[in-house]
Amino acid sequence: MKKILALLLVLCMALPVVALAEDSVTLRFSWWGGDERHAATIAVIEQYEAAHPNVTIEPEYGSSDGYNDKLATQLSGGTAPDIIQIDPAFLPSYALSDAGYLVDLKTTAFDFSLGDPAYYSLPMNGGFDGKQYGVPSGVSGAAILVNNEMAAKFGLDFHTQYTWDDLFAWAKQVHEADPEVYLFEANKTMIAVAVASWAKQNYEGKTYFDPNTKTLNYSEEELAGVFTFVKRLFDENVVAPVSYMAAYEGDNMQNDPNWVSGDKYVACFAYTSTCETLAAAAPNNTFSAGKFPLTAGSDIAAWNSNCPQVFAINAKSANLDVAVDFLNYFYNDETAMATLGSVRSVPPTARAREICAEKGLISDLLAQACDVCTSYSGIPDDSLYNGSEAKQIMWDAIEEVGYGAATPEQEAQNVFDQWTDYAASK
Amino acid sequence: MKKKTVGRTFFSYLLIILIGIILIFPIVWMFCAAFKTNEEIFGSTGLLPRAWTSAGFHSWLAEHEGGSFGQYFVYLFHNFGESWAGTGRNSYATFFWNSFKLVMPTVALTLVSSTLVAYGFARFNFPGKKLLFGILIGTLMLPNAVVIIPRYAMYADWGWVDTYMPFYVPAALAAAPFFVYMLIQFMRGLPRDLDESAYIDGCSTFRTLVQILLPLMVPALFSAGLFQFMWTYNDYFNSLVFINSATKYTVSLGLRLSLDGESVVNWGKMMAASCIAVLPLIILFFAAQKYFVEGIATTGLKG
Repeated sequence: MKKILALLLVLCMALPVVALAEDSVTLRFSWWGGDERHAATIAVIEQYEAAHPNVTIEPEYGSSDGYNDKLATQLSGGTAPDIIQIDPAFLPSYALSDAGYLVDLKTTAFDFSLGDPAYYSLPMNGGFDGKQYGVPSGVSGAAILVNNEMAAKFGLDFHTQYTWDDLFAWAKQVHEADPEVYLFEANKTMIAVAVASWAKQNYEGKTYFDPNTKTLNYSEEELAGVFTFVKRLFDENVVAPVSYMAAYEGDNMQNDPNWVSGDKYVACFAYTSTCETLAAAAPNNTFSAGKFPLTAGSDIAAWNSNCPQVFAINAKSANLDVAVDFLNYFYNDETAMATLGSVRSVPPTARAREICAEKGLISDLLAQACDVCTSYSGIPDDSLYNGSEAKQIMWDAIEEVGYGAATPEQEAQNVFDQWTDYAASK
Repeated sequence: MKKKTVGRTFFSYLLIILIGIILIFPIVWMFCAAFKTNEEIFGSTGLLPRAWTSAGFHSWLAEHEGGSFGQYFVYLFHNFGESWAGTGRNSYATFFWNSFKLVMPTVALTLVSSTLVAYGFARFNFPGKKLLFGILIGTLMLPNAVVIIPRYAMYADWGWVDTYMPFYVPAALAAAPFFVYMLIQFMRGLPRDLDESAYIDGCSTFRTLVQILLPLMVPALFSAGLFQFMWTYNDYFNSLVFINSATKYTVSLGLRLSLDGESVVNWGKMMAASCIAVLPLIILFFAAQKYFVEGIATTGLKG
């Protein structure tokens, strides 16, 4: 018995020594994506591991579905990975949380020299009040994906600058010619993006919130104007009915059989990061990236480019320096850039874009979509509207207006009250 | 008179066949979809894949000159091969092995622990029995979603996240009240006289359980084991919450890997993977069909 006890004691004492002697580091890196992104990201991990034999990086990948829920649980439970891919819509709630979940990369050895400060310092790209809680994974933004055959059939030209009024006229023309055809495929998430730009164009470039005073920039009457516009989109058949699109929420628009068949929509309101997926889903058609609608008589464009994902480092990481070093490699190394290509939309740094262009890693469609997107001057959404709660209120409101459950005025009052409470609670 | 019986039999069989077709249709559809392209899945309502027809063969032949029918046959199953290869570093072999490592001990531990607890409740009187039984039944009513947050916090503190401990330990501690309750009901149906004669012959309580009661409980244990196998194998939610590393993913998590909104989903491949994933359950069902019904039918028969 004594012998066993002694043996156990010796073992207990020896364990930490063994752990120290090996000096091996294990990091966890989580992201969501499809097969192509998984393969490229794992290849970069393997490159890094080959150069740093003492480092093991445990990949934790999955699909976008449920990713944010899991991440929120992990962050609050203290079990989050060291390096995390985050959806920009959820970034503010993590970055600005009192719990201090994410590391300010400016306090670390992360090398920002290849990035464009004007771009990465935007709130949606991780920059908050001079602190940098993440780095953008790429350049993206909204995209109008035009089905070339359908556009030609109805004689519509999305490539010359047009206005919202043109859009309503086109929708009428298309729907009258064939009642099964709608001008746009767009779910409520995408409608909210379009409506935010319309609102800025029509209300002096105002964002919904003023984050400094934590109040609303819009009056109830102005919000009623916004929802009247939303109602027009549905009533005048610019977009498919909300009840139909409910099954294709989030990033699921490519699964809409009417989109796949290629003869029910003229265009799709999408993101640059999803436009290739959408194009591939309808193999019988060819696609191009159209221009964005503007408001006649307004000189504000307000079509933003932003990033599809942000990479951040967990403040609780036990191996912060190594995590930063890996992210550095991931972001700044040319081999890594060439491996990653455009698996996370168009790359964030000019150097990476050059490499992709040289090697033909960016498709013409994606390049075109990004060119269109960056050709407009943007007015980024404020940090309060970027929060997931505010967006959810907007999405619900769009749905209610779409279903006809509330008039634009009722909805405006409802959203005004909810947003006022939300802003005050921040 | 006889005619009437024949007519009745005919209609009951017709009804059974119709219901049977409705129930099997999704599985047949899934299998057929594994041979289709996305376009065909979304664009046509036909069940049989174009690839099975001569038109499919000829269009393949046009792309692969000099191809033989044997090669075409291999090509037909390419979705299965590709999906088996999995995503990134892990093939379905890993996922199946992980599922096996997760499910088998969980099932075994559940059976052992549930039997012991059920034996206690069914055969012994002890202070607070009613209260404890009430609590047991109470936890039966508790939805998993309610307890998942405290469980997660607790397991995270103990460093059990990203291991299979959150599955093993509750199984070892009879935290599956449904099975405990089922076994209690079954044991109540077994005559006490058997226990008593065993005591007279000098058996201890434990030996009575092992040698007298267990052989009689086989049908109930079988159905408990089958259900626990199915539920653990199919479980997505708990695996998603507790397992992080892709190398530890089970089949249900592995299936979800290739479904992402930001990339093109090859549904044919997805359906092929689903076919592979349900295969163990289908085999299990046919192999143990007898016990599925028997176990349920005899539980609580003489309550």
